[in-house]
Amino acid sequence: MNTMFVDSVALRQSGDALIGIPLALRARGRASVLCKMILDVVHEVAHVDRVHTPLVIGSALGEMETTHALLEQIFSEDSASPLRFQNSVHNTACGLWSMACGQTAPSMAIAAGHDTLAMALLEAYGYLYEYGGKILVAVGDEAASGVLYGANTWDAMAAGFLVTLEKTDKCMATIHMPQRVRDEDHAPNENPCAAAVDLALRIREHRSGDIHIGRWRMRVEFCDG
Amino acid sequence: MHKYPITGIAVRNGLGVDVRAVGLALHQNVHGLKRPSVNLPFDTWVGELDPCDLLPPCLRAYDSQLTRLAASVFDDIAASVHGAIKKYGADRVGIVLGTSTAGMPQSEEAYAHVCKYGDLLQDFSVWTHHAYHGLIDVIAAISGARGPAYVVSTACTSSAKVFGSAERMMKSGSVDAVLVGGADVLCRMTMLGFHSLGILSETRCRPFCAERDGINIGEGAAFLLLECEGEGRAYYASIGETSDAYHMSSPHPEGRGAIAALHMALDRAGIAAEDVDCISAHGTGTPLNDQSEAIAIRNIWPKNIPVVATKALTGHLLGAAAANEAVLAILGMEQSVFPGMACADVVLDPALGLDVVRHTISKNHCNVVSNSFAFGGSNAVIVLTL
Repeated sequence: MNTMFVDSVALRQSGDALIGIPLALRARGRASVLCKMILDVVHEVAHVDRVHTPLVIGSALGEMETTHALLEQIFSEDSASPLRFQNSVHNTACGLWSMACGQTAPSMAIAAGHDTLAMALLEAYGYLYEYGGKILVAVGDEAASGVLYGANTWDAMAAGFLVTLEKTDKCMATIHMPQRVRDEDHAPNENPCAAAVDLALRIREHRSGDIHIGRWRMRVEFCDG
Repeated sequence: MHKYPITGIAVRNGLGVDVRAVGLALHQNVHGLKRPSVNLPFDTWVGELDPCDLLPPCLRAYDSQLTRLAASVFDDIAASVHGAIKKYGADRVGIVLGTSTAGMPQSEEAYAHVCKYGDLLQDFSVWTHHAYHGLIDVIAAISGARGPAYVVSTACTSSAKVFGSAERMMKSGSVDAVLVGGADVLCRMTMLGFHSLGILSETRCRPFCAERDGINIGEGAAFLLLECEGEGRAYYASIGETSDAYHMSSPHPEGRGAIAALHMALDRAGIAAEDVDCISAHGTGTPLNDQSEAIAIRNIWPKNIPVVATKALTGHLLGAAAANEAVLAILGMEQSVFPGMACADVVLDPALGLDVVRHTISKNHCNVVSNSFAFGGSNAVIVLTL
C-alpha cells in the first residue's frame, strides 16, 4: 500500500523550550543546537522500546555550528579540538541517542537538500518493510547564522515522528509515500526541512492534504480511528 | 536468500584512476600512499589523488573537489547506469551515496577568504558547494536517474549503509536499481581532527601490526550499480547494522556491536560462518579499533580466517571507505587474490590472533564479509559473493 501510520509527533521551532533532552548535564552543555533539538523531539515521540527501535535522522546541512567553530579554530590555531571534531559528523545525534538510551538498533543519518524529509520517510519505510515494528524519524536544521551561509537566513527547527506500518488506536495520521513531481530544486533561502513543520502541524491539527517536500509531494490523511 | 546483482563498478583511489589500474595495483601488491602535498604541522602519509577536471558549465554551480571526483569516477559506470535507466525507466533508478566530508575543502577555501579579506569568496554557496546533497544532485544530473536520491553520512560506515538502503528500497518496491557508492576528499579539518584525537599515523599505517599507531587518510570514490534481479559480475547478499551505545569515537572494547552486526549480516545472507572465505577488515590501524575488531572476528571465527586490510594500500577513505573496499573485494574475488599490505617488514600483533594477509596470496574465493565501523558507534557489515 506504500503507506505508513504516524503514532506520535513533536515539533520544535526557534524560541521553543527544549525540556526533554535525554543527556546528562555535561553532555547537554557540549551538544550542538541541532543535536539538542533533534534529541528533544525524538525523546518526546519515543513511546517505544528505545533499545531496539531504529532511528533515522535527516538534516540537509548537519552540524554547521560545530563546523563553524572548527573552521575558526583551524584558521586561528592550526589545530582542531578532538571533542568538536568527533561531534562534527552528521550522525552525532545518532551516537548521542544510542549512548543515552543504550540503543543497539541501527541508526541512520541522511541528507538530501530540500528533499530531506521525503527521503528520511522513504528510508524509514524501507526499514519498516524489512524489519517491521516501529521507527523513530527526526529531521531538522540549525538556523542559518554562520559566515558560510552568506545571505541565506532561516530559523532553526526540528520535528520528530514515530511511524509504523501497522495501524493501531494510537494512529494520528496516514502518510502516503512521496511521489516525485518536479525536477528543479527549491530556492535555498528557507530552512531545508521546513516541510516537516507543515507535516507536524497538519497531523496535530487533524488536517488532511498534500505536502510539498522539495521535488516531492506527499499525501497526509487525518486518522479518525 | 535473494542476492542483488552488481552489474557495474567504478573506482578511483590512491592505487589508480580506474578499475583496471586499481585491479593491476592489487595484483602487483603496490600501495598508493605518500607524503601529503599540503603543509601540515605534523608528519603523516595520505592516499592523495591528482586534481580532477572541472564540472561542465551547466553544473558549475556545484563545482567542488568532491563533485569533480565523483563525476570523473561516474564516467566509468555511466554505461551501466544508462542501461538500467533504459531497462527500468529513470524514475525506477535511485541514487544512495555516502560521504563524510562533503564539500569541506571548498568551505575551508571560503573561510580562508573570510579571514584574509573579511568576506566570503564571491562564488561560494553553502548550499551547492558545502552541503552533502551537491554530490547526489550532480550524479543525478549527469546520469539522468530520477528515482529517490540521498546521501548517507554516518562517518566511516556511510558507504556500507548505502547497500542496506538500496536493498530495502528495491525490496519495498520503490525502485528496481540503485547506484550506490561513496566519495570523500582530503581536507584540513579531517587531518587536524584525527591528529587531535591521537589516531593519525606519522608513517604508513600498519593495520593489525604490533607497532600500529593510527590511520592514514585517503581520498577517492567508488560506485556500484545494484539491480533487483539478473546476472551480475558479483552479488550483494546482505547487511548487518547495529549501534554500540558506548562512545562517540571509540569502539566497544569487547566488540559487542560489531559481533551483533556480523551475526546479523550472516543470518540475513543465509551463509554459515564456515562458508566465508575472507574478511575485508575495517582495519584502520589504530590500537583500539584493531583490537576491538579482532575480538569480534575471533568471536565468530575462532580458527584462522584470512583477513585483508586494504587501508594499508589506499588509506582510510572515510565516507567512501566501504564502497572502495567493496570494489577491492570484488576485484580480489575476480582475480583470485587476497591482497597483501605491500609492506615488506610488517610484524603482526600476536595478541590479536588474526591471520592477516601480509603478502599477496593467490586463492579462489567467493564469499567475502566486509566490515565498517564509525564514530557514533555505528557498525555495518556487508556480505558480497561472486
